[in-house]
Amino acid sequence: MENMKQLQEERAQLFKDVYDGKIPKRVPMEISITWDAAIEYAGLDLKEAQYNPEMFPIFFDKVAKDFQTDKSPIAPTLRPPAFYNILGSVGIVMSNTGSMQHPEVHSLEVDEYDEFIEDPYKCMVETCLPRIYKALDASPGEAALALAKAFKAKNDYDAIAGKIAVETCEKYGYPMFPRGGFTEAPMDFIADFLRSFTGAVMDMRRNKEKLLGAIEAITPHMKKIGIAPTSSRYARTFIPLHMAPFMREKQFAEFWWPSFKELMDHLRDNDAGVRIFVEGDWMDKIDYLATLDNRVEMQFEFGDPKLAKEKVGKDHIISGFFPITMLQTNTKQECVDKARELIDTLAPGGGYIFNTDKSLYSLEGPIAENLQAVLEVVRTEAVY
Amino acid sequence: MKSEYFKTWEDYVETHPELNDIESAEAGIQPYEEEMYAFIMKLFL
Repeated sequence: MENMKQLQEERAQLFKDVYDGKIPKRVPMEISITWDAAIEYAGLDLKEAQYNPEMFPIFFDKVAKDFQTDKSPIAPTLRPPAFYNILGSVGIVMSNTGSMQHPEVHSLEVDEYDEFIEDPYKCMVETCLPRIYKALDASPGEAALALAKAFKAKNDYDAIAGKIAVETCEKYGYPMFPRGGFTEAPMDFIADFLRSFTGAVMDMRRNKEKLLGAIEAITPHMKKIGIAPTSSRYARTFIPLHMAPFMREKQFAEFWWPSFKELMDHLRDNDAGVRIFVEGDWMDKIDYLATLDNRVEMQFEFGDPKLAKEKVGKDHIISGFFPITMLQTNTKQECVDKARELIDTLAPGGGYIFNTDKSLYSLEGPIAENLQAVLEVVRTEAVY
Repeated sequence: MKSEYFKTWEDYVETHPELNDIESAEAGIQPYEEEMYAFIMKLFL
């Protein structure tokens, strides 16, 4: 156990050095294995295991042991099915195979924009929630009971999964950083469950002023949920970026960027470090990211690592770029060569955390073995 | 952030003045306002 504590500290130091702008002893590595991938890799039934807390330690342990990185490769899921089921969710649903999915839904109509702009939280509770959580589209008494059950189910799940996550970290020497906030770019929040992706795109042309009003109205809420009591440069706020790659620059500059920048400035002013998942290809907008400060951790999905290093590598932290599809379709040699190429490009001067381009949704076929080979290369070769 | 549906502690004690003199009352009540707010927001994330 003492050795594990020391290992935790050594691994934590790798990240702290990167967050602090120092060059670590080695490139820290982190990956994110989804529950879908972990459960099936552990030989469990996907639907059953997500509902059964007694199974959580089995698949947590399996992937934590087999894929040793510098942070736990698995964390409590954002989508535990029980409370979504209790609420009659239509926006997050379990598929036939057991995966939790987010179909395109909307819960705010165009003629309700004014109501939303006036008081977003009230409008979300009164108007939007019952449309995407059908158990709340009921009598006041039934709705209150459903919400209470779901709230309790979510809190119970958080407590159980959190305890297992801690035990896993202690067993395998993974560092534990306090949890930061979780928020979204204001326009992404409007698009995700309120107006839908399609609706938001349409509104940029047909209901421009209303959409801009809604973005402005929701921004204080995105600021509020972006900060946790423990926020710091180590306990980072997570922001997945959604819509920007699908927008022309003119639209992006007018609708998406200003409120996001305001949010990022707020997080900086409150000493909250930030990790953004730069979903899609942002290379045509990377100059915008370069204007941010606060040493943001940027996990890139697609794009040119050299350009990213040149544009944001000096002031920010780069991660991602390793394509998970390679693990499925390419040879072990090609996978480790790709890892070496990324290390050569992104590690010089520090500010680099090895990560895949997105979470791992499967460990089937050659994926697990190729991934282990890649992690071994980073562990043994990416030394400063 | 202001909302008719989010009660700050100041809002709350306006309608529950009996709590004004109880030092621990805020810590016993207000976190649940915050937790429910966070829960509702998560339902849209």
